[in-house]
Amino acid sequence: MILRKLMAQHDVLLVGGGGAGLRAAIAIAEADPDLSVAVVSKVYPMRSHTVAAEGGAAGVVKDEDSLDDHCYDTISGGDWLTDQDAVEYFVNEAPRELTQLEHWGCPWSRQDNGKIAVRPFGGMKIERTWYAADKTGFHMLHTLFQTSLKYKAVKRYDEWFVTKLLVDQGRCCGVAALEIETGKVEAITAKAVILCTGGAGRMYSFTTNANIKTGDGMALAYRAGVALKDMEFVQFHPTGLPGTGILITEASRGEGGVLLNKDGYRYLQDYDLGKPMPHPVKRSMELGPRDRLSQAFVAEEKAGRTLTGEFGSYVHLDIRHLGKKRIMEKLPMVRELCVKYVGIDPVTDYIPVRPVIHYCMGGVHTDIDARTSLDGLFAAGECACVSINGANRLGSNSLVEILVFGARAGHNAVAFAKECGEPDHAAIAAQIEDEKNRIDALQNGTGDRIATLRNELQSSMEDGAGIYRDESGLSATAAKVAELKDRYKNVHLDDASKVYNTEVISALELEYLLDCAEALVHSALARTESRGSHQRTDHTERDDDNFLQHSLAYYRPGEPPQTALHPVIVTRWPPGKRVYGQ
Amino acid sequence: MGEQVSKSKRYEQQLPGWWVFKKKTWFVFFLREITCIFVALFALFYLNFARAIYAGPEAYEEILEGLRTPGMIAIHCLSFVAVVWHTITWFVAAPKAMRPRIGNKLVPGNAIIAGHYAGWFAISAILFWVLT
Amino acid sequence: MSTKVALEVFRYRPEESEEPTFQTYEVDCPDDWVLLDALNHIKNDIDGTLSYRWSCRMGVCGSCGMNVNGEPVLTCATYCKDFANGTVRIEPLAHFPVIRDLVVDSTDFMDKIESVKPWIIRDEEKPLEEGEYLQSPGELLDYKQYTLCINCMLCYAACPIYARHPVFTGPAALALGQRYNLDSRDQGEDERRSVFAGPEGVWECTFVGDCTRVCPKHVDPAGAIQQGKARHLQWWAKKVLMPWANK
Repeated sequence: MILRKLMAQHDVLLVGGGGAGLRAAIAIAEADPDLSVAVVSKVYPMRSHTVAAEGGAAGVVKDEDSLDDHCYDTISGGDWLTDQDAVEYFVNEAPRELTQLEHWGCPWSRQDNGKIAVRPFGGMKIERTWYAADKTGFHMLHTLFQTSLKYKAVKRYDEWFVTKLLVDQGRCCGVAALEIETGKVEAITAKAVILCTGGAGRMYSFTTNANIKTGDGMALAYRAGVALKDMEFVQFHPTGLPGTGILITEASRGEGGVLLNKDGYRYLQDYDLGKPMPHPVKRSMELGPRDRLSQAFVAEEKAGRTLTGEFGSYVHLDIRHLGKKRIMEKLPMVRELCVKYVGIDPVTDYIPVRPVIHYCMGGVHTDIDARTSLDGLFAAGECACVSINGANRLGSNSLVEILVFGARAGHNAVAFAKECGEPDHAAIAAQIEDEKNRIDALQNGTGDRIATLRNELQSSMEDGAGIYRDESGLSATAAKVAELKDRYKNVHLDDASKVYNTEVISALELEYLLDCAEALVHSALARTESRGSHQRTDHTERDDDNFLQHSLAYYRPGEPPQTALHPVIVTRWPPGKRVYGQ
Repeated sequence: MGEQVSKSKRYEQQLPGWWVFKKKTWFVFFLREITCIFVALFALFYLNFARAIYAGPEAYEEILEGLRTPGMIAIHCLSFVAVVWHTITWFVAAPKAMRPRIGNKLVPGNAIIAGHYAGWFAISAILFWVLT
Repeated sequence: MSTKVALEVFRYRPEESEEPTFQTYEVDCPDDWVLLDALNHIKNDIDGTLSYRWSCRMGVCGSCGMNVNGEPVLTCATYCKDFANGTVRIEPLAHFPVIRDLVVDSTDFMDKIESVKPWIIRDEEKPLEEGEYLQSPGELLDYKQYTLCINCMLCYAACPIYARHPVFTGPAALALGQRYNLDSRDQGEDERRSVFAGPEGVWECTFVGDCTRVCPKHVDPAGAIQQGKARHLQWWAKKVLMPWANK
């Protein structure tokens, strides 16, 4: 029952109903069924972008594997920018979380003996990626959503858009949210708030990400004074379909797919990623880390060895040798997507692919307990940066990250909610009036259309904050973002209605994207080294002396963000060289 | 639960009572359902036939007389088509209702349908042999 | 290459009028455009007041279902070039109340999904330390097809029974319930029986079969429902003929 008082009150509030949000909600409901949990999501939970993840989720199962190996792969994959205590915790919890999901009904693919099957994945020394055909995120999300329905303590606010964090006396006490169906802006208070809103791929034109990936939670925290960490590290997934940007999972390479340039040559062998072998070799060639593969593409493009098509340059992903039976069993969605969106059948044709923005390693600065610097505010999943992904994420780590840190955030939020007192409801109510006025004021704009501003942002990010960056490109983009923020103040909307006004939502999302872009670009400018997915052509070497540190960006209204550095935690793996192909 | 106070006026989309004529697939469904009337008719007819055989040669002749009219022949032809169509659609539906698995493979739907046809022809053949 | 398409779009703005209207937009659609691209073009550049749902644009999130020329489809999976030389009529998903323009009220659908208890029900849980429940590839195959539902609601828009009797649990929900009934780890078929075999369950279905025809993920909800009928009959026969047998 949603009690329609002056405002709704809960113990813990989740912003976002994807994998991390639902896992946290279940964790809270299981920890204490008497607590009231709210899941506030701008879409129905099964639409959350977790649904599109394909390849798998990593957790150590094989006898010949070890937690230390998973740690090392993750740490080296992240180019040593990962916090090793968090990685150790994450790796340790991963198999348990994945087993828990299995107990909840997730249809993991199996070996003949009935045990969980695992597949090889990029940057991983041993097979440890659990998978559900090539729709792992889809199955995980639906399992979590359906399981969450068991818990009556979980109240959902479907299609409510959070516009602001409500902060009182240095404590986060809830959110201001717009009920999309009615246009009403209301306060939903809580003793603890967990941000689980995902990444911000829509800062770029060409992305695997859905329309809803607009960095909402990151911007909300940023505006509330919480730092955004490592924002400059965004992942270009090596294999997206040209034009649409639709993801072709890394699993296609895990099963043995190879990347060929226009001469039919497996070009990755020229980039210190090992020698081509007929079968996939772990941590080698096509199973190297994503940042190195995307960088190799750029080099091939510069050398004129990529193919050119209607949507720019691309290379070929060849999975024909896997055979129809294996493709239908292990990669059915890949085939479906190719047939539908490119008009080719990967059983007989090459798949055209190119690097595409996919994931944000950076996000809301949290500690290992998912806590932020703002009391009562937690974050988990892609929107958070703990950091376990460092400068580059390994494929199949993020689907399990949402489980591990979703659960952890849930448990810690419960502990916090039990200790802290009631928020000051009157003080919070006062903030809502301002928020309503702010949103209504969007109707007064006479300037650019939302799409104009958004397109300009996205192009500028592709140009200046791509796979390779330099100072002049980043500065130009920084200036552009500042200009767009200014022009945004006068953005023009056609739709003045209250009922299901999606234009207002798009405008607010654009504002979030601009905030995230600002943090990204300024962090990128401040990091004068190359590491992982942040490659500077004007600072080509990794510089551990100065930059074995996280970047922090703090919001300053009307000015560029305040940047700072924050130490990386090193436990048992001293910084080393990333070696692949051996 | 999805209990919500109705917040704005919904537009209710209605499907009229004559919906079977709105879409081709729905009309085909309607025809398929109508075939069961003919199945029932056939069943009634055979019961009547059996009653006549039991009653004696006169009753039997009476039935045969009645059958020789053009009207009855037409009805029977139509009924035959309807019952055959009914049977075929029933067979096609069979793999939906049962999906046996052998080891790690599902028995293909076509095999199940083929099995039904085989059974139909086998029983028909036996009956034909018995009656002639 | 591109195609000129006239999109005749259903508009409903409850604040302005109780009656819906149609608004036509002429759009020049490149060959690689799906209808969703055309709608986005309209919203971005022509008329920002058009409201509709979309997200992944790759056929996996289930947001963008609409009735196109009378047929429920995913607009992210329907190409504009297939409508050359014609008008494309775009309406909200049939059989649901309309909130605004192309946005329908999904509340009943969400309730139906919940009503089939779509979670693993067991008498006893195995501790996590003991690892996974064993499930052979064959056992996975028994229910796998029914796990593929993206909750796009096209099947409800195709089902005349749901349209005429909205209490009907409906194709996707029954297929989802069946997914759990057939999962070797689940022991909850009895708990779901009141919904399955009840007045709004499988026996409401007259096997029109349009749900299966329109399903973009080949889930075959009609098949799931017919299976449900067969299973219910088996259960009932066993109960009547062998009442001593443990269920």
